[in-house]
Amino acid sequence: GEINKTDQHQYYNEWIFGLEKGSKRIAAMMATSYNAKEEDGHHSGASSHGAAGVVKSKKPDNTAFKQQRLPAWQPILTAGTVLPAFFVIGLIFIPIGIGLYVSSNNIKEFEIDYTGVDISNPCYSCAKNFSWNSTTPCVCSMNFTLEQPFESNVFMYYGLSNFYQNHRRYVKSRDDSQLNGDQSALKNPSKECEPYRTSDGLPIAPCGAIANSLFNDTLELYHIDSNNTRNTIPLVKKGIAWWTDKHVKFRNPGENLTAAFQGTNKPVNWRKPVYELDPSDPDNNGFINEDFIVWMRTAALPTFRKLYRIIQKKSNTTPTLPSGKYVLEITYNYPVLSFDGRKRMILSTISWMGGKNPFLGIAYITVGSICFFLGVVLLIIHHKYDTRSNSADIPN
Amino acid sequence: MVNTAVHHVRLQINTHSQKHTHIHLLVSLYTCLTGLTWEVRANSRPYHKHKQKKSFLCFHWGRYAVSHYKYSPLTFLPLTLFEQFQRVANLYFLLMVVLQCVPVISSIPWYITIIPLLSVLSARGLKDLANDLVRPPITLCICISITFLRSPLSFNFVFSFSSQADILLLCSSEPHSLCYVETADIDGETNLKYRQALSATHNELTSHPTEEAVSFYVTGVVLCEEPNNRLYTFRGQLHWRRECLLLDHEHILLRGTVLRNTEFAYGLTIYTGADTKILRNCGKLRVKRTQTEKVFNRLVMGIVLSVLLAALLLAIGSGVFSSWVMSNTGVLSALVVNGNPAYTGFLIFWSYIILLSPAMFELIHTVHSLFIGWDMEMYWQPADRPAQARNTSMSEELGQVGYLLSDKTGTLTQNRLLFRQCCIAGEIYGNNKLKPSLIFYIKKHFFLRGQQCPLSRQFLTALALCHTVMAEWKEEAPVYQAASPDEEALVGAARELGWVFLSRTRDFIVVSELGVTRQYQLLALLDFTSQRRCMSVLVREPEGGLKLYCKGADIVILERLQKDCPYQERIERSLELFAQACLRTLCVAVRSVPEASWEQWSKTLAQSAAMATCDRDVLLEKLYDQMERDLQLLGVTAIEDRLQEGVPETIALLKQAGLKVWVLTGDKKETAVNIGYSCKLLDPDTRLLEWHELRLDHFISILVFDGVLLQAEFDQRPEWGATFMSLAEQCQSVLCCRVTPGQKADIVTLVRKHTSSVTMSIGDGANDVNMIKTAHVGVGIAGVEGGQAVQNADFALSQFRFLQRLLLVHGRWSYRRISLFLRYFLFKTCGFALVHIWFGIFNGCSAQSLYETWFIALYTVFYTATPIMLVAFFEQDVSAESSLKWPELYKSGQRQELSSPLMLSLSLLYAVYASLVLFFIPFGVFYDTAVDYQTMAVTVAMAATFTATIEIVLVTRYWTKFNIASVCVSVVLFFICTRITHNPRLFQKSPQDYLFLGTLTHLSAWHFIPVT
Repeated sequence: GEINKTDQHQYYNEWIFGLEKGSKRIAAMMATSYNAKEEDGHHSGASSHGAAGVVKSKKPDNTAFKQQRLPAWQPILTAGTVLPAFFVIGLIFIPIGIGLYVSSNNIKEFEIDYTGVDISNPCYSCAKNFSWNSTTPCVCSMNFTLEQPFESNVFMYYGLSNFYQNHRRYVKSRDDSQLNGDQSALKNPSKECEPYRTSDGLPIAPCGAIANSLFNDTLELYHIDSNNTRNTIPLVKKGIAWWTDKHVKFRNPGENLTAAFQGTNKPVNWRKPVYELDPSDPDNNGFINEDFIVWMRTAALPTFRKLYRIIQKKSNTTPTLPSGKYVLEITYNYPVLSFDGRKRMILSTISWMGGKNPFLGIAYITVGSICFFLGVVLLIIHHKYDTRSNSADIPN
Repeated sequence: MVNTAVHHVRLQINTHSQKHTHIHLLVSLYTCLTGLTWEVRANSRPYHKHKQKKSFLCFHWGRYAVSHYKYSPLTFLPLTLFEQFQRVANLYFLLMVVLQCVPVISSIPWYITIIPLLSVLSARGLKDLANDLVRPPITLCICISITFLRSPLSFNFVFSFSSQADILLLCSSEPHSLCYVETADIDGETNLKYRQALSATHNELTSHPTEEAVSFYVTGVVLCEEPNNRLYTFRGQLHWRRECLLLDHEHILLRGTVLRNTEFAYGLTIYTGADTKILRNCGKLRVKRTQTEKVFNRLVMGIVLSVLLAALLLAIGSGVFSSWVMSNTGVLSALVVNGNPAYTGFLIFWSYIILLSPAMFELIHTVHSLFIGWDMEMYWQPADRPAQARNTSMSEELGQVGYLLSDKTGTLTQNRLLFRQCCIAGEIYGNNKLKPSLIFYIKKHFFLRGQQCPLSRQFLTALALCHTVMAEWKEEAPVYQAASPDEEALVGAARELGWVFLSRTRDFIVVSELGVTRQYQLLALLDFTSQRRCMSVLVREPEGGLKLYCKGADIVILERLQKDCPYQERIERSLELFAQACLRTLCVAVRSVPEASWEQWSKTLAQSAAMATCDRDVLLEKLYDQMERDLQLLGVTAIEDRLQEGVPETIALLKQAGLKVWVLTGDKKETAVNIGYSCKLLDPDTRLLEWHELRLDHFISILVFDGVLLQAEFDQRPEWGATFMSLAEQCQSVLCCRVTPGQKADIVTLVRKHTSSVTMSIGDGANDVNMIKTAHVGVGIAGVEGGQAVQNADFALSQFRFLQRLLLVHGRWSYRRISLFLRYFLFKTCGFALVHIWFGIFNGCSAQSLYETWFIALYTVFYTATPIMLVAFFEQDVSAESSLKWPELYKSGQRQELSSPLMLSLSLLYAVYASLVLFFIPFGVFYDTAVDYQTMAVTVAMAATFTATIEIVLVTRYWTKFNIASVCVSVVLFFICTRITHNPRLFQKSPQDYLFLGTLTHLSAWHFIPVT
């Protein structure tokens, strides 16, 4: 086509310029070049880039990714999918909630406050007359009655209220290297421990505010049997800390504790140094004393409880704690009245889901019911108003 | 590098660009005014050495290979840091890091805070660096210049193919020291232009062409303006041999120009390095901010304020707690520190909200831009040109455009011009109905009827003479290189009809008239500007007579005609006829100039041209006016500019999508209206409302008005803008005719000022640059008219019809994706951070974090970032085809439904709700139990991660394999990382391995609460 067209042009040119002599050839050539360009349609780009195009075209790749045509699953929320989802969620959650609630209710728990706020409380005088310097410990005992027997293993907790173990400065006031048995940290505790870092020029072991405020009440439990005799209930003090804490995180700086802690000072509030926490059992003494470890694992909230002792089940026939009268004997060392705190002793059995706490069960039931209810409401709305077409209820 | 130490008062220089001035005049010294403070001395090394000490700019002396890169290895770090810390968010974040480094107030270790900051900074820095490295045209120049530099720099002489400095041309190998140049690197125009040396230097130097001689003879001093960024103006003087020669931009070879068809050229360097005009032009792009970004920034400001408020309250709480509780608590009292600045710790968590969002924004925008470039449907095969997002941070703005302001020529039309018809002496030649080979039809007519008519001859002579086209000889035929396609079409048409333009030199134009070669002496060229809208040449015919040939817009020419011009009525009628047929018309006129009046005129011209002040332009215009009068009308040319493919469909679709389409054109009203009909901008059924009807309170649909009138009206009553806009808002479309480039920009400003909508300008030529820069989004059509529009645009397309895909598909998707990202991001970070406020109530407002330090650092980056990023990359609610099928979907973007402050506030509320659930359900569960702080931290962290994940699962509507993988990976990553950070061997010091058996069951409860 190109050649024909050019020929045609030339013909016209010759016809036109035939009258003129001389410049015929030039004119014809010029004319053809012009016309070719004009009729061609797209000139500049095609001609100038044609050569370059052979080398590399800028044409984008026709791939699914670059063309945004990736295969994809596009779920469309319709009444048909949303409503069943609500019902399914509701139907799953409500039974779970009920299960949780029931098992929480099956847990037996007994709690007694021994802070001694009331004058009627046996520990009132101990609380009132508390002084850090007193050498003789103040002992008080509280009587209580268990209405129901506690069958399986019973966990004995002490609970503190209004005690801010989660305060930022308190949480930081410890030296994990020191507690891990690091020698240099023992002699030179972390700065975070200030102002419980040194006393009388000697480094404190264990340093910091957490250690310094170690809970040091002693609780003992007696069962009053029908003969009115006091039977000591054996309290197991090992196995209350996390295994990883006891074996990984906390280590003593040496075998011979007295020698290892030479050159350190006890925390200010303590009555005895760390290597005398449990002299009878070398596996429960020093930094790896389990009471100490439990205390060092700081609580999340200002009202908390910490595991104190475990009462092992003796036999299958008798309950661990039969119903009846008990006496709790407290060696009252730990002051909480100054900050309006409370001290409690809690006895509890546990289930697969932990301690007694109906909250989670209630939460599940609530969520489940709301879902169910919403499902019903939506269903009604759907039936009432969706008479037009199915496309109307595509959300978004 | 040369520089004067004297930086006096900088003169305000008139920026009217003088495009093709041919005035080279000798002016005596006393007229040389001051204000030209930049001094260059040829061959005077001691002088410049002396000056060097005074100015740091002289640093570049002797180093011509000045990098065009913004960064060098040395300067990259400080420069990029400086740029980035100009962002408020980054600065705020740095402040946080600094605060964290103060041990007393730090709540988390400083290195954890700095990880995200570093990632933000390095991501952005790398992007800038990559942008900097990809500057192809300039790199090319550098290589060439190093290779071809010949002469010692001390002489200030450069002999090269591609100029590396702004150089004053002294002489060249070509006759009259013409110098053919290509300026593709500067303005993207590929046609040849010429630059010319002063005849004084030319005469002197060509007689001594050796290099030694040149350096020997040249001892001049150049005084010129301080370095500036105006590419098309230059003012200066060459003081040489007691003469003061005026210099303008015709004598300057800008850096980046490439010499063609010129063997050698001698020059004097004026500006080098960073002072060159092209470099002054670089990097001055106005930073455009998108609407969404603005909303987000406002939101961030709001958040910062509420943080401050919360921090204040918490600080008070902390103080109260210190004095009341802590001092009474034996164990805590010793920990009370004076002025416990608990609130500073708090700010950290908030910094995570702002944190990373800029970096992620950048990344998402970049990917969206890549998708635009990758779209096959926007690839233009004939030019091998894909669409291009030049500004990579605007993509979501494309989904919100409310006003489209379009240029006509070259944008709606092809700008491939065909000479269709002409009217000479009242006789119409050619027929619009005939499509192919039309010019032969004209030819036939012409030779049958008009050849003997002197007017026809003059008409064609005018076409062959009055232009600025360059002829380049290739294979014994001239190839015309024109800056404007109109001229090319006209000169080509003249050639077809026997008047062949052969060549031009500085002083002569050679034309072959029906085979007879005639040489016209070019006396003056009164160049074309968009203000004047006409151009003229003043030539001396071989016979000796003086003739002024003039061509220009009808309105300009018609008012300059002599009285009772023959055929005027018939020509005017044909003008109307042509306009109705959508043809572009130009009037051609001639005037015989008496010798005496020319002499007088040229003298005045010389004087006024010598004036260095800003009055010069005004004076010149007046002089031009004097010359272009008493014209005799020869005829009218009619050029057809065909509509581009798909234009009517695109306009119809965009109107359906709710866009208001305005067409701004320099054409006559009739032409504009006809084009408007043919491209479906105007509907035949609707009523046209014209300017004089505007005051009536009619219900109207289409507004057509005239730029001149508009200007006049606005000058009188500035408050009229609001009224006008309220009227225009009711119109379907608006058509503005006879608008100048300046007015185009004014109209865009008007729209921006009076509506809250996003405006988009689209254009192809240098005259649209202003408008493109003014609008929120500027789109350049890479067409025939050079690259200036594209260079100043945010997006470059090859065809107007690609606009529908750019807006309705990419823009809509991008807007949706960005909005989803923004809202999700707010939700996830606020939900995550707000937990601390609730926790603060229960820990004595002590800024204890509820999360472990590592979790805070990893949460935003590893656990939750990738799924939302992928959503922001791939999300599609409807496919591209459906987007185009239902253009109404676009309207939600125009109303900013997805990113309105209300929606963002709702996301925030949702986040508050989620954070309440996140904190208070564990609180209820763990209250008065033996569960410790670390367990709670891990539980809440896990809940937060799951909440974020489930939310993203609900947000995602387009599940590609990447989305599925990323969601899975994020969750798995959470478990792996938690496990690793709790590894006893890795971390003997801090949190240890622990079990969270049982916690897992608790979790599922509270995810579903925020979800439903």
